[in-house]
Amino acid sequence: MNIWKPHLGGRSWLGGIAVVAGFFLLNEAFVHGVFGYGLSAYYLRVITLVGISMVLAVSLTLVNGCAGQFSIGHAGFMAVGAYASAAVTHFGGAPFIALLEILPAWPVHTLRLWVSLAVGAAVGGVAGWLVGLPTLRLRGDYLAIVTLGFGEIIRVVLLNIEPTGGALGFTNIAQGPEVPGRSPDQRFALFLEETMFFWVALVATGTILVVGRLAYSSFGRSLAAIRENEIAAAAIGIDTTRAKTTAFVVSAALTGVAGGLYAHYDNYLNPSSFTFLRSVEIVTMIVLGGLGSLSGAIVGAGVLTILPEALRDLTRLFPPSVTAAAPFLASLPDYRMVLYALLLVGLMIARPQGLYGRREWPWLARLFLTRDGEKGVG
Amino acid sequence: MVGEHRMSSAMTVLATKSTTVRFGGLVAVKDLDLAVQAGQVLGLIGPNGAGKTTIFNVLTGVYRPTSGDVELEGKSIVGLPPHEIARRGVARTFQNIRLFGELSALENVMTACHLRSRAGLLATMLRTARHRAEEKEQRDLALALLERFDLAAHRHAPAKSLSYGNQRRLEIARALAMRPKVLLLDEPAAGLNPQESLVLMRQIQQLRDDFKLTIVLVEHNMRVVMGACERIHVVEQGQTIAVGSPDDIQRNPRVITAYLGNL
Amino acid sequence: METLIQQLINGLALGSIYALIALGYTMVYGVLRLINFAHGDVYMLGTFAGYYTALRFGFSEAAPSFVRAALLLLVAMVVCAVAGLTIERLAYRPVRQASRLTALITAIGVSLFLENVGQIIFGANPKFFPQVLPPQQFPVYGAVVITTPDLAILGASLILTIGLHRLVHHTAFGRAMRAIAHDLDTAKLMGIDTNRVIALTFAIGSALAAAAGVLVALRYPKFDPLIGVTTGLKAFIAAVLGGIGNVSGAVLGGVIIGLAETMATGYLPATLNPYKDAVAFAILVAVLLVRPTGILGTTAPEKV
Repeated sequence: MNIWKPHLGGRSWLGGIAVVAGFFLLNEAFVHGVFGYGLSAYYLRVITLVGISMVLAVSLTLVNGCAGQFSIGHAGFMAVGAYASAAVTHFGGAPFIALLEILPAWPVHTLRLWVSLAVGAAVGGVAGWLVGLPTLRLRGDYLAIVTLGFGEIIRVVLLNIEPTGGALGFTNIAQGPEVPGRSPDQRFALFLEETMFFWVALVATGTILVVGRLAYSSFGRSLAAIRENEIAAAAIGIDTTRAKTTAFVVSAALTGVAGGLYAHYDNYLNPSSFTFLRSVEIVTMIVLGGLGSLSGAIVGAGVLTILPEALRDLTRLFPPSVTAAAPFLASLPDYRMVLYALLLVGLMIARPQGLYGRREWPWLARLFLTRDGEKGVG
Repeated sequence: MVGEHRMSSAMTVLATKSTTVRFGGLVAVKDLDLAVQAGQVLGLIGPNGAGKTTIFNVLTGVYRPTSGDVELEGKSIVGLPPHEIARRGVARTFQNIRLFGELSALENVMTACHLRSRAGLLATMLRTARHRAEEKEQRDLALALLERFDLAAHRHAPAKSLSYGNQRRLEIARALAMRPKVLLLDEPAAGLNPQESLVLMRQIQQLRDDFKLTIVLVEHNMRVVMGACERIHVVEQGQTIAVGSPDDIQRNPRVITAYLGNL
Repeated sequence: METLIQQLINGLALGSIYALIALGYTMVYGVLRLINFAHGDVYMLGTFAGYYTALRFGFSEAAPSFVRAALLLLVAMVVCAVAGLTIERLAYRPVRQASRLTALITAIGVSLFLENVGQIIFGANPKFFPQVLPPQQFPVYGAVVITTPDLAILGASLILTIGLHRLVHHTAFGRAMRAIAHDLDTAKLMGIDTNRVIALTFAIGSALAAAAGVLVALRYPKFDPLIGVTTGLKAFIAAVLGGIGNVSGAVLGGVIIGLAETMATGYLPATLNPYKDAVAFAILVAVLLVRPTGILGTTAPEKV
C-alpha cells in the first residue's frame, strides 16, 4: 500500500554535514581505535566491502528493479570502472605528487581519489551507453544474455591488456609505475588505507540518495511504467528506449564508481574478480532483498557479503573439546559454500518476493517521500 | 444530441490517406480514407475482425502502414515512434486494458503528466526547487483528474486491484493527463454493465467539451455509439463501406446487411 | 586444406557436445521460461556417474569395447535423469509461481550447490576418464583421420537428437510439451498433467547432458567438478544463438559455437589468439543484435 507522496520539503544541509562528520568519526574510530579498543582489520574489511556491495546493489536496482530490465553483466561495468580509475591513479600521479610540495596532503589526496573515481564513473557510463543503446531493444532474457556476453568480453579483454597487468593482476595501483632506482611513493597508498572506509560510506550514502531520488520521481515512474507495460508507456509519450538507456547509463556509471572504490581499497585488481559470478552475485543481492526496494538492496548487499564470511567463522563457535569429539565440525568451513547455496535456494522458496518485497524502511522512504495526509481506500 | 457539432469548422485533425496495412498475405486495412474533424466525436464501427484496432495501431504508430499516409494536423506522422505521436497529442486507451498494474491509481495518472516535465535528470538528483514544483504540479493535476472520474477514493490502490469499470475510467483519466488533442477510445464500454455504459455515453461528449478534444471511438455497443457520436465510419474487412451521421448509418442498407443485420 | 577438414571434424564433434547440452537448456526454457543454470552441473554429474561406474565395473583402457562405453552412457543418463527429476521437484517446483528472477536465483543456488558438493565429495583435483573405446583411426581424406571417440560423439549425438526430435514432434508427450511451451495455464485447463510433463522434460534434458558428459570424457579424459561452468555457459549461448525454445536451433547453435571455437583456435592470428574465449560471446552479441530472438527463434509480436 503506497501512502507516500513525493517529498516536497527543502534540503537539509545540516543533516548532510552531520552524516559526513559521523562517517569521519567512525572512520577514525575504526582505523585508530578508541581508548585502545579498535576494530580488527578483518572486520573493517568486511564492513568496507559491504559498503561497496551496497553501491553495486543499489545502482543495479535502477535497471533490474525500477525499469524491469534484466542485466547480468554488471561485473563488466564494475571492471571497466575499476581499471579506468586505477589506471588514472597509477599512471597519472605526477601532477598530484607535484602538488604535494605546495599544498597540505589531504586535499591533494582527496582530489586525486575523486578525479580517479570520476573517471571510473565516466568510463563506466560510456560503457553502459555503448552496451545499452543497441541492446535495450532486446527483451527480458535476451537482454540478460547480451549483457552477460559483454561482461565476459570485457573480462577477456582485460586479461590481455599488458599495461594493467593482464592475467597477473594490476598491482601497486596507488604507488604508480616502478621506476628503477627509486623507492615507490607510498603516501597516497597510506592515505587510502586510512580513509577508504570513510569514502566508501560516503559514496554508498550518495548512491542511495541519487538512486532513491531518481526512483521516486517522474523519471522513476516512467521506468516503472516501462516495467509494468511497455506498450502503454510508449502510448502515453514515454520514450522507452531513451528512458531505459538513461537508467542503464546512470547505473553503469555508479557501478563504475563502485569498481573504482574496490580498486583503491585493495590497491590491486585482477580480471578474475569480475567474472559472470560477480554479476550474478549482485543480481542475487537485489532479488534476495526484494526487487525494486532500496532497503532490500541494502540488506541484500549486507547479507550476501557477510554470509560467506560468517560461515567461514562457524567453527569458532565450537570449543575445541566439541570439534575434537566430532571432527566433521572442524571441516565446516569447507561446507560453507554448500550452506550458502542451500540458504539461497531455501530463501527463494520461503520468500520468493525477497526479504522486503517492494517496501521501504519508513525512515528511508521519508528521505524521498512524505507521508500523505489521509489513507487511501481500496 | 445528434448532428454536426458546432466546433467542426471542417478542419481535419487526424486523417489516413489511402492507407493499407498488410500482415504477410493478409490485408488488414485497405485503401482507408478516414478523416476526423476537430472537435468531433467519430464512431469507428464494424464487425469483429474488420480492422478497427489495427486502424488505431496505425494512427498511434504501433504499426507502420504498408502504403498510404497518416496525417496529424496536416503533417505526416508515418514512421514516427509511438511516443512521439503521443507527444504530438494523440492519446489512446486499449481494448485489453493496459494499466501499470503495480502502480497506484494516482501514480498511473501522474506517469502520464511527465510530458510537461522540464526538469532534467540532474535537477531530479539535486532535487531543485523547479523539480519539486513540477512534482507538485503533476500530483495536483493527477488528483484533479482522479476526482473528475470518481476515482479519488482509490488513488492509493494498485491499479490491478481496481474493479473493471474503475480500470476503464482510470485508463481514460491517464490518457487525459497527457492533455491530448485527439483521444482514441478502444471499446470503452466493453465489460461495463448497462448502467455504466449509459453514464459513459453521456460522459464522452462532456469530455470532448471540457477538454477541447477530438474523439475517435471504437465500440460494439450500438446504444453508446449512436448516442455519443456525431459521425460514424463503418469498416468491413479493412475497407470503408459507409460514412455518415448516425441516422444515415442506421438507414444504410449495406451497413444493415454487413453489421447491424447481424444483431 | 587437410587442416581445415580436420578442424571441421573436431569442430563438429565439439559442437555436437554443445548441442546435446543446449537441448536441455532449450527444452526447459521452452516449458518454464527458466534459464536452468544448474544444467551445466548436471552435465558434470554425468561425467562423474560414468567415471564411477567404470571404476566399479573395472572398465579401463585394458579392455576397450563399444558395448562398455554404451553401458557407461546409459548408466550416466539414468543417474542424471533421476538427478534432474530431484532438482525439479525439490528446488524448481516450489518457485514455479514466483517471479522468473526468483526462479533464476534458485537455479543459480542449485548450480552453486552441485559445484561445491561435487568438490567435497569427488575432490577438487582433476580426474582422468578411462578410455574405454577401442583406439582406432579411420582415414578420411589425405592425412585427415577420424578417431573412434569422434565417431562415437557424432553418432551418439545424431541418434539422440533424432530421437528427441521424434519425441517432441510425433508423440503425445511431445504434443503436451509443446502445448505447455505455448501456454502453460491453457495446457493445464486442457487436462494436461503439466507437473508430469515438466518433470519429464527435466529428466530428458538431464539425460542428454549426461550423455554429453560421458561422450566428452571419452575424447578429453581430464575432468573436475567445475567443468560444467564454462561448458554449460557455452552450451547455453548455443541455445540462445539458435533461438532458445527451439530444438533445431539448439543443435544449429551448438554446431556453430563448436566450429567457431575450433576455427578460432586454429586460425586466429597470434595476437588475437588470447581472445578466443570471447569468440562465442562475440558471435552471440552480433547475432542477437541482428536477429533479436536468435537464428531460428520466432518473434511473436505482442498483440496490442
